[in-house]
Amino acid sequence: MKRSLTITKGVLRRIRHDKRTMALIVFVPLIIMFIFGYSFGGEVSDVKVIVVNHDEGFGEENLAEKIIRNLDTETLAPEYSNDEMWARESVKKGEAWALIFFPSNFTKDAFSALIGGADNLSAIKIILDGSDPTIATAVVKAVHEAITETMKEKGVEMPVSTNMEYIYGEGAEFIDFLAPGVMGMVVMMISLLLTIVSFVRERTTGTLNRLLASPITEAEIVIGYALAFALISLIQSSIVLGVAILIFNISVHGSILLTFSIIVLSAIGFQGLGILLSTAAKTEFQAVQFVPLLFMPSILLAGVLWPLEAIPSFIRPISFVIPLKYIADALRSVMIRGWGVERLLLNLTILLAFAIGTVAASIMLMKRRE
Amino acid sequence: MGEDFKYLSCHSCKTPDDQGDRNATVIETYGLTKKFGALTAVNNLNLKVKKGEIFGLIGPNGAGKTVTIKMLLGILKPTKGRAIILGEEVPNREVLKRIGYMPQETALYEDLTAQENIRLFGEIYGLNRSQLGEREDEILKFVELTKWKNVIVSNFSGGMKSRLSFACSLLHQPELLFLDEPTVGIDPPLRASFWSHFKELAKGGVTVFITTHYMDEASRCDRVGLIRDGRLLAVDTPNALKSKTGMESLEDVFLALLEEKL
Repeated sequence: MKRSLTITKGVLRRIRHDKRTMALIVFVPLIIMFIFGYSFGGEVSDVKVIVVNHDEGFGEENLAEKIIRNLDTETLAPEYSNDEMWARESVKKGEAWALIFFPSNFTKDAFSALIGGADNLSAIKIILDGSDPTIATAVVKAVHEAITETMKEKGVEMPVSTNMEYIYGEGAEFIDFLAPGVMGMVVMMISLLLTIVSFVRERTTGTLNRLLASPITEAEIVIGYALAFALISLIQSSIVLGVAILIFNISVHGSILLTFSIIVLSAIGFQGLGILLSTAAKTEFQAVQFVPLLFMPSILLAGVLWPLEAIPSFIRPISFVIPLKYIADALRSVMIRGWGVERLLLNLTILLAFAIGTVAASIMLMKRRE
Repeated sequence: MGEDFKYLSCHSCKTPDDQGDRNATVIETYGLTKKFGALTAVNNLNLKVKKGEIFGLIGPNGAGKTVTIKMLLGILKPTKGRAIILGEEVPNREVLKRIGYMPQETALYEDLTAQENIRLFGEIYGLNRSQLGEREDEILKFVELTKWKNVIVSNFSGGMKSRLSFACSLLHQPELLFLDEPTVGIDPPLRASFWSHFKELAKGGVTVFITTHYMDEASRCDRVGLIRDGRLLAVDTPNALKSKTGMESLEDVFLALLEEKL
């Protein structure tokens, strides 16, 4: 273990002497935060919502049914239920993005308002998970469009409104959604890139041979590297978090400790992956070419910059094998939804398996000594 | 380089002139073979090296010298055969503490300073802070890099890098030293200085296993093994090889042996 620390110190010192890399570590998160902080996500589709219709109608008329029929089913993937409590719970668990609720006197109130002398305003209740503002906006927009469409069919202007209730992310903006994704992305980029490059260098300069001919074990070398990148990732995510909180005014609802634990697990996983990839490259130049290869699908498909719902549905399955998806998901759930460990067991298990798996594989690969 | 040879004797040797178990075998190999696919890099190598001798493995590039050293250190797994180093079957991590290795490549962290390199490798060999402080100064003085200890290694000349690499392999006072082409690409005065160090180390009881393709260096070894295409063609003292074949120089011996075998 003491030897691992020697390796860690060595890695960190080498970076410290290399001003360009130092700049990379500090400025990449800053630049990305600023560039994307001012941009927006695209169109979404198949957003899972639950529609609960308790409207008893008024005479022959049932306005709720008409509005539901006019819901844009390309944007929304509605599921119908009568159980309001269950639907609410589903939103709370992150299984659905929203509950669209029509109260029992929905049509009746609308008609009495039309006649005049309405005490109760007829309103659709939208219970939202606002942790992804793009999705929240899309849901609200879809409901409003359905109302407008229905009123056009009827040819009258009915006084129907919507009532928003946020389960998570009230007032969340795109930047709140973005910050956790950027953290994951930056950690992935730096851990992967720097490990691949430094490990290829260890091989080509012969320092790895010197280490392998010394009393240090393969596990000590890999753990030494892992510690170095865990530390670097902490520094980087602190930068992202600092910018997000101080400049973009985001608020973190969950535990910072849990946020950093997810970051550290991710960094360890990616440095393990970096060591594995470095064995497939003979030169630093070859090694660096791996990075866009892994990085592009990760940015595009892991839901970092836009939600998975904004990705064409036939490509979506690929997202589920991208580690960054689970990292971004977990960070977002902690930071915006304020979730604790108990609700993130699946994501944390996957990330733990990723970290242990890549580290164990890279130790084993180094032990083969062919 | 400096004169402080007394610091360079090995751990287990009480005095620099300790002749103790001079006849002890330090390296033994039995049918050591390494194949890479269809290529046989080292073929059925049987070798014995005694304590305190300078053993030279001589041969052209690609003869299997580096692969042999890597198998002896346990960096490469032999396809067949076995090696025993300092009485222990290879691979054995404990025994690596008593061995120094200067790889063919510079094998230094080029973006660290000389001192940082020395500290890193010293710590890896288990030197504690006070030992390290002492050794660091001695060794830097010895390879005449004290002045440059805070300079990043990538700014060093080839000769300076070689000196630092040599220093890193000596830090933990090894009993057995593997030097893989240590004198390639360095100027004659430094080469001479390196050789006087090797001699001094051997006198102090350190076994030196060296590879080279310079024949003039081969003649300075106590014994040499001539290797070509992974096969050991002959092993003996330089003089015995010359008289056996009736040749003037080792170079001629080597060429004669090659012709005979081909």
